[in-house]
Amino acid sequence: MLELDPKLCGHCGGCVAVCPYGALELFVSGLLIRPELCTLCQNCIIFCPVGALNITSLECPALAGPEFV
Amino acid sequence: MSKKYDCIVVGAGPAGSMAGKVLAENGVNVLVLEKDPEVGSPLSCAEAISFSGLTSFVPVDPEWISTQIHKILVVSPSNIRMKLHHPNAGFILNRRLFDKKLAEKAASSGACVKVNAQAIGLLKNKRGNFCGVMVLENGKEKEYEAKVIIGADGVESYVSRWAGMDFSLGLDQIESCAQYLLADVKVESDCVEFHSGQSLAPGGYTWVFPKGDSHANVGIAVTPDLTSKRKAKEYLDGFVQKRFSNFKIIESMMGGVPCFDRNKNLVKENILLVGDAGRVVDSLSGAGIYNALLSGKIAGAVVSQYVRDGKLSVSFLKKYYEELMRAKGRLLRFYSLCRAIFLKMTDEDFDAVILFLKKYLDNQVVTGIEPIPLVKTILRSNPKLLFLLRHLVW
Ligand SMILES: Cc1cc2nc3c(=O)[nH]c(=O)nc-3n(C[C@H](O)[C@H](O)[C@H](O)COP(=O)(O)OP(=O)(O)OC[C@H]3O[C@@H](n4cnc5c(N)ncnc54)[C@H](O)[C@@H]3O)c2cc1C
Ligand code: SF4
Ligand code: SF4
Repeated sequence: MLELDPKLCGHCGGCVAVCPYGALELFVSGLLIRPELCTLCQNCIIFCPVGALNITSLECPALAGPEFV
Repeated sequence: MSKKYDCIVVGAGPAGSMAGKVLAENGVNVLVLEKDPEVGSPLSCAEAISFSGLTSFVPVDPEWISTQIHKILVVSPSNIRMKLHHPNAGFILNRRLFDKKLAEKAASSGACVKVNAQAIGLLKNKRGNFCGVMVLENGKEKEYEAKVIIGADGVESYVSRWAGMDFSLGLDQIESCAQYLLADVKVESDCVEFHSGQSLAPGGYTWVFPKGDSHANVGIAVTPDLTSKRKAKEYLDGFVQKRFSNFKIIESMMGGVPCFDRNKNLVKENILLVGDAGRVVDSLSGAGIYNALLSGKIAGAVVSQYVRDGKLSVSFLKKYYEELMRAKGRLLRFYSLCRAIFLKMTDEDFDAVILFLKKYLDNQVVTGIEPIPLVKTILRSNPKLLFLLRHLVW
């Protein structure tokens, strides 16, 4: 899962611009991560000028396969 | 029923406010939407603009000028220093005020400017054409219709995505930037500094722009592709420690500067992209204020003509792109090529270029620098750079 450190984030929107999957949305209230769209490609992590984004676990709902019941 | 406008501009940065101002002056019924509660803040900008760049759009008002610049210092990786004297080089703006005043100008010309109003989607009519904008206004969802929509929503441009004109920027197409506003620093009050070097700022440079009263914007731009996971802020901290013995950090900001893409569409049906949203930026320096004002002005004029005539086909709006390229296309393409060379330069190349320029320009008074002839001279002086250029062109 991708996680944001809101204390470091300055709402600059650069990560939104480099996300190929539309998994980030910038609101006045802050940055919203949509885990169901995030593939953990790391573009936003590499871009972020302050290191506010990090992968905290390899759990990735966007890439999870179909579930068998 | 939703309210109808001739044109909706999304974003009240320099590009959006300029477009809104020109449209309103031409009698067009225009709505300018700004998501933040205040125009001009938060801000990510080093606030520099050339004298000619600024004065070609607005009369200079001392209220929103922080300092006037007469000198330019360039420092190479091994500390070769070249200083130019330029009586009218440019300004460091107070952009928070500048942006606010420009939005006020749009409003006093007749534009409806709404803050706390975030565009959250585009509306389509039954025929599938874009016909308006969905807006989150003071926490409530509203819909506004319009004949034309201008995306002036900065580097993260959602309008561009919603319209299917762009999806994301590659890591080599954006600069990752960090900046501090420093106090108590010793800087020359009318001199901007640029420091280069691949270890100092991979694929970018650092700047020191005086803001008056011992304050300065000190920042860095790096190409994220080249930084081997070190953050722009870490590079900046290293530079600040090295450059200043005394400083106080007053403010910290960050941002992304998109690179110009000659293949990007700036017009699709009745959607136009201006400023950073259209990546209208000088790719070598990252200068976007002038380009935002220019593209906003041209888009405003073309849309005014389209709306006032009433009978023109929507393809008339392509005139915006044609006119922008006529005005700035050659330079925008040229700076993209320069950036491609820049990204391949080693510290030794930077030293050689600055040493070469120093011979001709150090401590000289220049009144205007023509970038294309200057770069051609540099390239001719350095066979390796010429070789790089050949590689890039073919
Ligand atoms: C660190 C840094 C330093 C820079 N230094 C310089 C410099 O010294 N000189 C220079 O010329 N350029 C500089 N630039 C570039 C310059 O800041 C930009 O090119 C310029 O601000 C672009 O103007 P704009 O109007 O296109 O976009 P912006 O100024 O980004 O304005 C976009 C506006 O749209 C609003 N918005 C976004 N989404 C929505 C939405 N959905 N609904 C409503 N509103 C929305 C935003 O809140 C914002 O107000 C710098 C950039 C950075 C990051
Ligand atoms: S790039 Fe970093 S600082 Fe900028 S909005 Fe994204 S997380 Fe925040
Ligand atoms: S890791 Fe990749 S997919 Fe996930 S938010 Fe970041 S850029 Fe988007």
